[in-house]
Amino acid sequence: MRFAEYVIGGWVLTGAVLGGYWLRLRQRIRRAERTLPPEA
Amino acid sequence: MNVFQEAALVAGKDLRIEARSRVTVQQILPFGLIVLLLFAFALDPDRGVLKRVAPGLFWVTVLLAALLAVSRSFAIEAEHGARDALRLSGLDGTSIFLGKAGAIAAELLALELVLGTGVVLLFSVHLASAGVLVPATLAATVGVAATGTLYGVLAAGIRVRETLVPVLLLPVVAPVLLGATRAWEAAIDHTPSDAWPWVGLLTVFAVLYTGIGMLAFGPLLEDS
Amino acid sequence: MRLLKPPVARVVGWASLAALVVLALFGLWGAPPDAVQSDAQRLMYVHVPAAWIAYVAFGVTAIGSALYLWPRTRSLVWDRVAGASAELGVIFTGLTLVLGSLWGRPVWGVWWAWDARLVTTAVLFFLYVGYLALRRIPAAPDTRARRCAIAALVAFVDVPIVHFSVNWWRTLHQQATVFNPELNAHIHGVMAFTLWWGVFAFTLLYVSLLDKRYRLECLEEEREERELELAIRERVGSAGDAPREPVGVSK
Repeated sequence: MRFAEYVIGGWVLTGAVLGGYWLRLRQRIRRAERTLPPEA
Repeated sequence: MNVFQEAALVAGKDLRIEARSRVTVQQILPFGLIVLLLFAFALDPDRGVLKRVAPGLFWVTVLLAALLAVSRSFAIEAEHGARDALRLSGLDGTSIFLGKAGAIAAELLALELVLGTGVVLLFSVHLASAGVLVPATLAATVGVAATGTLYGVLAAGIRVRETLVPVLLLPVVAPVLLGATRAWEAAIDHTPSDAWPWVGLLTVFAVLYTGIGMLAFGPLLEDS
Repeated sequence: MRLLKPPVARVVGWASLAALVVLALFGLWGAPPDAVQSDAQRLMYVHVPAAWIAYVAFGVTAIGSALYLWPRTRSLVWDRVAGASAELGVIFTGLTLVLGSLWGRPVWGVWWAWDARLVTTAVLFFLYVGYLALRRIPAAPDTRARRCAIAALVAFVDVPIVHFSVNWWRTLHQQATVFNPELNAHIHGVMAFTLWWGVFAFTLLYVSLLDKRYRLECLEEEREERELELAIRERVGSAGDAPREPVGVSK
């Protein structure tokens, strides 16, 4: 593949950013659910 | 009292405070001139570079000075419960907006007069085509003042407003920088017909953001 | 607490993952290299969908903000949607800019070009960043909502002005001919399909992420409310018998 570094680099970056964000969201949601103070 | 009389009242107050404290004249103006000077340090004063980019440098300097002017305009409301007094005064939000924006515009125009002279003297620029230069400058100034006042009140009660307002305001007024610079370039190149479309853009921007400011200022002042 | 019902959210989540895998297959392998751009074209299959979502997310933030400000539809739901969408928007906009840069280097020979689309996207990025900075300022929910909503609409109105003025500026200077639109008008076949599929896949992903981000926003708001409740109770409790009347009323 020509320009492989750019193409693969771009796709990997995309996957990493979106996947990483998705995982981080999941982590933050679980933590929020876990540490929710009891209902008044 | 109608809207314009109320606005004149508020503008008068702000300008009177300026007359007594002289912050614009003694601090913001020197800041602008220093920035112009720094551009000469940063760029090459001997190769005609400055002359070519003078309009852009001028307007960037005006924008930076506007940040200070907006900050100052709302700093004077931050002390002694002045904002509460403004809210309780019974003045319409629209009037206060027009008054404060008007005062900022007036201060900016005065700054532009001096900075413009600076650009002519320091960068060897020959300003021409006043017929198009003046409307362009007025429209650009009104646009910046209106948008600045809008963001100023939005951030009025926020502690980090000094660093927040620039990051909010500058991207939004980018078209003003673009249009004003192009209009000045056309005026200087003696091709004023090229400048009129930009004057149009600047006017649309000014009208739009003055309108938005008139609507939004009141509610934002209540929240601040 | 959620935008989508849990079973729907699950389906959308998995569907978007599947769609992205299909996109990768087509984008990296199935679609042929372009006649002019060669394999650099393959970056378009992620760059264009990312740009699409960047603008869609911004639109959603604007619509949510408008709906919040409109008295008849005022609800913190719209504020949360606006905020969640903005966070997604900044990510997709950043991605658009970087991918565009990675594409531009082999095809144009430069990492950046001052053409209307790129500049407008860069300004959009900064408008988002400012909005998110504003959103982080602690305040009562409706104060923050109103302030952010107005800021979002002020920024939204600016975007077409920026695009128009930059476009005008760059075409007047006739640099545009060098940097022709990166999409051939004549894109067809597998390449066109892959591009549209990318838009579809990214849209599913956006919906899935928006639902999650919204949920997180709700949870964090709920947590703040409950912590405040608890703090009030403790304060009141430490003053002796917890009065049933509002604090401050003398007995």
